[in-house]
Amino acid sequence: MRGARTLGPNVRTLALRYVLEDVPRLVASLAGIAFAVALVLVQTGIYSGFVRSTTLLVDNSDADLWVASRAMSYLEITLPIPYSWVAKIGAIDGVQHAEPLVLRSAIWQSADGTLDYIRVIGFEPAGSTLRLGASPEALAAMRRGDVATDAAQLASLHASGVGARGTIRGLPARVAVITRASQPIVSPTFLYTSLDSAVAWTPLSLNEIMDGQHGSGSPINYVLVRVRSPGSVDTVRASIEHALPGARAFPRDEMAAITRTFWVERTKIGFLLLLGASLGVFVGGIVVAQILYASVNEHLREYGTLKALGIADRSLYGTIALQAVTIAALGYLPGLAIGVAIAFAAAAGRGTPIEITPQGALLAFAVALFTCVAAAFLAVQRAVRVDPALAFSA
Amino acid sequence: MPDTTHPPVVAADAVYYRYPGSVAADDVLRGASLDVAAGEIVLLRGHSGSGKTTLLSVLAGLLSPARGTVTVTGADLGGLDRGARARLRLAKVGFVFQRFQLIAALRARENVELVLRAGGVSPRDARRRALETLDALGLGAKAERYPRELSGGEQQRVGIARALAKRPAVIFADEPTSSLDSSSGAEATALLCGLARTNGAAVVIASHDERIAPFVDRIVSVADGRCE
Repeated sequence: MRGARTLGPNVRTLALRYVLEDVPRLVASLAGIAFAVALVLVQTGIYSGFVRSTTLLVDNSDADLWVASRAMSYLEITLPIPYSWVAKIGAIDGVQHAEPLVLRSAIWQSADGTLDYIRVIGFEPAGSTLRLGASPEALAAMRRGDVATDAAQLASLHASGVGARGTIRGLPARVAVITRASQPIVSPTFLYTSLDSAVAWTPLSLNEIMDGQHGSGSPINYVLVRVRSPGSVDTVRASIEHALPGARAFPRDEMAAITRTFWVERTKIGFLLLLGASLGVFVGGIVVAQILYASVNEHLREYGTLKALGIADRSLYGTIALQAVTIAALGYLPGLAIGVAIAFAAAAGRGTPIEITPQGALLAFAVALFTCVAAAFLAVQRAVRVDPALAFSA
Repeated sequence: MPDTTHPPVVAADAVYYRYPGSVAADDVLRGASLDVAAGEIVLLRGHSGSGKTTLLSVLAGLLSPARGTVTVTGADLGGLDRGARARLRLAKVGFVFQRFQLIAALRARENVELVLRAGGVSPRDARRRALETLDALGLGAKAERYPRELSGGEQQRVGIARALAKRPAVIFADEPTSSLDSSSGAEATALLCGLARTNGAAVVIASHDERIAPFVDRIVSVADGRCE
């Protein structure tokens, strides 16, 4: 009698045949699950892509420490610090390299007159720790007035590519280098340029207006630091904060985490995307639930017969759950394909990073599985409550 | 031949049954009593509405009587919960239904194997026994066909194979000939009763079909919810 408690192979066969016997119904249920999976994948992909894009500048740098004002809120909101800190930090024991970074805002006017809000990032293109997805030689060859920008931002700048011209504060600017993976989704267009160009386009003081270039009196926003020995980051960090009481030195991971947290909390994007994904899962679940329920109704007399014959309720649960799992597995694959295709299309067309990670794909499968099994719940109730005496009624 | 030296394989004593929502005056069974000896073939005969199908359902443990006791192979069904009654049916009871009640998505062989596998028979033995039983019923060549590919008579023979293959102590058959033409009905009855005798299984048939009478050991009339 122990066998009555197990899900026999013929019961498994029955479950699979029930799934496959009505192709249009199967297609409808697969479409429901594929829709939910694709939506979960795209939403989690947007979330991952968004979050990762906010810290690309930090993640893609070789700097071990980012030194900023103690008042720094996140990467793009910080108070200026003196340029003299670069030399002071460079003299601290354990520091191999220190370089300035300037973050300022401006308006780009393209050749056709359209305007775009931009973030001017001034750095030392030759030998910088920033990795912008462009060759160091091309960056080092940038002249005054040249900018590097992400390929995805050319449309915003109304720029056709390398050589495209525009003006910033009436001064000429030229796209000289195309970068990759260097632009946060939510930020204004990042234009990477030399310190001199940055100051000339966005002077903060009379001196800067008069000089038209970066000087010792020009404030900066960050000092990027590389340490001599990877194990000495904490020591160097403490030395910098001791030598410069107004400074805080953030290890790269910490700087990235601060920036990510800011954007996630500020935009509530996680909640919004979760809301969208939930809607997809709900709709997909309803479709599968309705289809499983209809399938059970259609086979109600057969379920009654199985119960009359003595097949255990557990096997009936198993039959319906197996149908649900089969639909989840079969629906997941096209859903994954659709999600990946959308991610590629978004990246190619709009430069929008939708990151489909193994974790995201696994989550989508878990969601598909959960949705289908939950959707089977009502159908199971219907099957288990069927009166076995139904088998004797003509 | 019926074995009257041992306790009955099925015994009902003063059984009452009323469908949910109805009143006492509408009792379908009103003190029905019946003993069926091991290997005995009994025909419950009665008009439509006499209560014979309800009695069959109560004897099989598909319905629980309001009063009275039912024992199957010595087990008092009143003392068993739903799961235990299901396990008892799976192990000891075979069914033959009026409308065959085969699982449409399974082949003839798989329909027979289903109860064997659920009862714990190994896949290899289940397949062998299913094929042997179908062969004995003249369906060896059609074992891989789906029910929709079989005639009504053939489907009923698959149903009989499903009931017999697990070697039950008792088979309950509800109007097994009413969906068949006369020759198929006679053939199905002959096969059911003949193979049940060979296997030593008792059979309780509820039917108003007079043509079944020659195949049975005893005829019990059911009228007004009682056995006479």
